[in-house]
Amino acid sequence: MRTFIAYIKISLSNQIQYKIASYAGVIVQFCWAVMNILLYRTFYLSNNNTNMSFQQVVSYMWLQQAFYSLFATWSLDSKILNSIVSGSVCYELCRPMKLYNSWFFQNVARRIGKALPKCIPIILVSSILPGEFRLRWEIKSYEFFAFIISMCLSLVLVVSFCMLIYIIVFFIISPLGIKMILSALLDFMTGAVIPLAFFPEWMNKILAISPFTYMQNIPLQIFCGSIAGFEIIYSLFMQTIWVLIFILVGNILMQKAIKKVIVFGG
Amino acid sequence: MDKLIRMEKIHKEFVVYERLEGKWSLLKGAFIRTKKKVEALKEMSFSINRGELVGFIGPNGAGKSTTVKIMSGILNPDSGSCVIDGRIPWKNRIEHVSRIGVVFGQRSQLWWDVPVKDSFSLLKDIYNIPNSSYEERLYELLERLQIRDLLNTPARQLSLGQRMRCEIAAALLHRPQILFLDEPTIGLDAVSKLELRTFLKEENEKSGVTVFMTTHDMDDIEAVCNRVMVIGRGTLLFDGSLSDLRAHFGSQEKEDIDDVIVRMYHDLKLLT
Repeated sequence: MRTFIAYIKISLSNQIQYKIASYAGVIVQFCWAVMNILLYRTFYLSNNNTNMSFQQVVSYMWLQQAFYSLFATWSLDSKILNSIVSGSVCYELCRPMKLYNSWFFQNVARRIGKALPKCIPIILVSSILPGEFRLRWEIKSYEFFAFIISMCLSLVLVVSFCMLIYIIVFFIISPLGIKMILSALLDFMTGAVIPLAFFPEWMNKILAISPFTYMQNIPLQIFCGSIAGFEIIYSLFMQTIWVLIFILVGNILMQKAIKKVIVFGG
Repeated sequence: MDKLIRMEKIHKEFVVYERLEGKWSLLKGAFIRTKKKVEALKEMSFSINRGELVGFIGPNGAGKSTTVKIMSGILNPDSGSCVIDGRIPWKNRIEHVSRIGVVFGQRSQLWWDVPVKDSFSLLKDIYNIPNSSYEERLYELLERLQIRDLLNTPARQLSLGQRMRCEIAAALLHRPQILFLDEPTIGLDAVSKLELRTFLKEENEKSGVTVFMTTHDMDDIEAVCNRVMVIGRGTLLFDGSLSDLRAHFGSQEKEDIDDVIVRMYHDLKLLT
């Protein structure tokens, strides 16, 4: 726990080191949300035949952009990737800590460090906007509680999934190809491009058995109220299952990777 | 004597993939690859006493770094045994590494973008160093390595000499029993080298830390080490004091040590 907090501290320090980048990030995410909302407004004006109301979509978009860095699947830690490619990972192996835990902590910490400075201003501003553009806090207290738990589970799920990618990079060295496939495919399947509620029924059925639905879609939909009641409990359960599976597989693969590790030169 | 490190018949092979030679090799290489086994270490055996200052030399590719990586628990050897302070590095990795400090001269353990002191306090938590002990140790290292003024500077803005002093401090914060240095003086200017050597010698006298360093700079060995080991093609070729080495391979009384080394590499047919 102490190490984890230490990693969060250094990640925040790392983010604050580049202040202008942080400010720019807030503005980008803000504009992106506004653009998306305007786009969906046009759709809703012509046709209102969906599972989500326009108000729900607005809230979804604001939250998605506020917590963007927390759930972006493709956002791999370049520090870790570089350390594999360049061999600096040998320092990591000289620490009294499992490499899996160390990377895991670093990733969770890095995502929190990136998201914190962004989410606070975005949520504050979007909560006081006029009319239909406002982020609505119409959530019941138990739903809010479920939302928080689901957020944590999603974060851990995304990180434990990314861990598999780091470990694969351990075997194949170059992270380029895998990064490209991921950014295209996963953004779509996790609901980062379009909320999954807009997908056709058959696609949602397929996605429901994949882990990707549970990465960012669930907490956001809980907040907007488009998932409720028993469905919430089921979703939290599925999130937990996937987290356990990914962590287990990750640890097994990591054991194999470490035995095979070869660090040439220097 | 108290044997701290005991290496027996350590063997390590790497597989290297090569491209075929000759016409169309580029095209063929896209479909077939040839494996080549490289023996990095062949039955390497030696032992080191507590508190010794050992220099480890040999031409590029001799197996120096591989030896250091096996002793620091990063690599698994193919066969042989290695016991350091009662532990097998790659099996009891976590217990082992909490008692050693490592510096790889060509890599960095400091976080690139954040002030050095943040990297230090991260290490404090990773190694679980108690507050009082940490403050005391940090103060001591800051004074002796003269890095007090660098604490608030991000690592990326440090000169190589400054950074290396910070790297050494980072490796010693948790008061390790053994310090492994892999080419610590690479690329340093004369002043930084001298300071680093003086510091290592002092640190050894003060805390009794065992130092094992690989280097290409014979002056490092002359100034710091009381024992030198020469490795070539994965085997240990010489083990003794520097004056022994001189007596063995030197021709005249005051011959430059680098010339002695060159002759030795030639005599042992280490250079291709």
